[in-house]
Amino acid sequence: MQKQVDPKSDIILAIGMIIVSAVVYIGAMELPPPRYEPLGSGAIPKGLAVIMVVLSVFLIIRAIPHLKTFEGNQNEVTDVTPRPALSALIFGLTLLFIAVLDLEILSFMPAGIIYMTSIGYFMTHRNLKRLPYFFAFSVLMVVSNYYLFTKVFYIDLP
Amino acid sequence: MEHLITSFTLLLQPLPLILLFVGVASGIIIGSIPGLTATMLITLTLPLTFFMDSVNAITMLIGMYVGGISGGLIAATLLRMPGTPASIMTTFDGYPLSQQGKAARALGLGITASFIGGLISWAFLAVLSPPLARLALTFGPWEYFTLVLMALVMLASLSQGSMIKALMAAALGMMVHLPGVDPSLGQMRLTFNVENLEGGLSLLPVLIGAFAVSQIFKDIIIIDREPPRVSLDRKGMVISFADLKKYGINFFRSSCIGTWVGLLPGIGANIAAMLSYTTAKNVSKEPEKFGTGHEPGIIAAETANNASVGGALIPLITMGIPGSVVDAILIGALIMHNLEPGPLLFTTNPEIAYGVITAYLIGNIMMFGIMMFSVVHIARMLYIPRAYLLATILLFCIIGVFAVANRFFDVWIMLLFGVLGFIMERTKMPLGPFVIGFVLSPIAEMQLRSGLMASDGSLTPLLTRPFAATFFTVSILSLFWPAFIQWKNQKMQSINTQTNRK
Repeated sequence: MQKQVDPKSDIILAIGMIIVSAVVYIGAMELPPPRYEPLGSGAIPKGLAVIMVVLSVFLIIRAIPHLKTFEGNQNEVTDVTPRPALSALIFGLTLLFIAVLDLEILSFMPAGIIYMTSIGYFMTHRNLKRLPYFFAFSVLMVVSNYYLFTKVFYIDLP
Repeated sequence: MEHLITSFTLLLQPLPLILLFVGVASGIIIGSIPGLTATMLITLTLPLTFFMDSVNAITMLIGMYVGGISGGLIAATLLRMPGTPASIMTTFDGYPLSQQGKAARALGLGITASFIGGLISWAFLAVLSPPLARLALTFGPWEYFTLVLMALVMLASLSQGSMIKALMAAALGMMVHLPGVDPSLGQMRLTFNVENLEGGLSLLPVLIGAFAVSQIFKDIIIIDREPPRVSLDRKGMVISFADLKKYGINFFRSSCIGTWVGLLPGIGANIAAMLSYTTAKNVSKEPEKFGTGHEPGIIAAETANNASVGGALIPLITMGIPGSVVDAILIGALIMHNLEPGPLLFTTNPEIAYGVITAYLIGNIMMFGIMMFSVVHIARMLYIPRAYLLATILLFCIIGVFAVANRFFDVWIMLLFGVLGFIMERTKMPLGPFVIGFVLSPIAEMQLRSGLMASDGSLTPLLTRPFAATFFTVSILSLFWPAFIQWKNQKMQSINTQTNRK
């Protein structure tokens, strides 16, 4: 059976889309009116923003009656324990890795090896016995990718 | 015919053959691993194709497409975990048959069905594409605009789940393409004084973010899921001539359904397999056996999902309209190689147009060979530790996106769309319409504005030009038909309830 969608998440999604549409619409209003052709630069953004708002309103109207009746998906049976915190942690480490490279704090090779080893460590339940294997794997992957891109494709990595 | 023969000569050279082999093999491996899809593989390979000749690049991507769709049957049959969404229907009969100790037979049937589906749809692709491309050459801006409109609306109306969300996803995809230089007037729009936005949002960061990065973070949540160990040998895998004869009608019917569904803009292999499976069940004398390890069920699902690939390539090379999400990415690949997808491809770059047709056939033959001879070894790939796999893909996403333009702005955009893709998946907003909206948005806008300029701002050509009027009518019907059916069902239900009360 398909998982029921939380009406609250539908409403939040619709509000998010209305905000995006408002930004697009306001941005399109600053564009000059059409001179050489009937539509001009702003018509399509404005049209899409209006369509998105209409659809979002429909979504909200459809979700509201289910707010009281929705019982959640707490009875959902999974064969493994979901690890959303791990996913968030890896995302955080990825942000950090990209920031380190973008701000030129470390170059690609050391940063890449540290990044891959650390995400491997967390993904393998912080198992210290597996850490040397993951470290060796990280060195192999980072060094081989570095040489592939810089020596074969002639692209400078940071 | 002459072009087709030339194309075969071109592709039967060592380098294109090696690349096609690499494409098919990697497609099968990635397709066989649940959670990783052909879409993800093709998206991740796009940065590498920058350094290749266009024919070789497209050949390899077509190989990945064929391999990716076919590889999904391995996990679907052995583990009841569809390697790709296209293999969901294969789990219904493939897995029960393998549980009866006939795993090799189930895989053999699936592989043969995939191959035959590919061959029959190739015949349609080779025969229909050149005349369709000639017809499409007569299309003007109104026909193209309405064709794109039809693709988006049909995709939304046939998407699983909410149609409103599918339409929202398509509109969002179109919005994402708006920042940058206005294609008609050349003036900046929606850049909000961000210098990096002046060139618009590039295809790769958006695609890799939405498909690959979001999938990785989704997979990390269930990283502890380990597939059960299954032993497998090749005995009984080869399908006899008697079997081919026995299931001949099913093979042909499912191939036709798959090709037809593939032809419809924006609809993928999973719908083809579902429709074909349901048809096979409906016409069967033993419908109760479906879902219990019934061989015609495997054949119907696997023939149709592979045939849909060939069908989906028809609108891609003849009109530049994607038949599925993977085709939308292939359109992006053609654009990245400075090629214009559409009917002109047959005259300006026949080596590409016919190369796609030829690569699809050779790719299917390779797929059959690789899977028949090494499915036992490929099945072992299902047990690669997820931590190593996901870490490698994540690193490759970052390097691949950075390498395209040597700027970190793209990497940040990739992460942003990774988050967006993750949210969309969680809220059941389909990614397919988003990507197709993103890819088709500039075409739709350009054609609409050209059409309006030619007609002095009048919309009447929408109704007076036969093809444009047909596409427009289909779009309107696709938009309102699901709502009408729902209203009709509700009305029937209330009439039945009232009758029962009386």
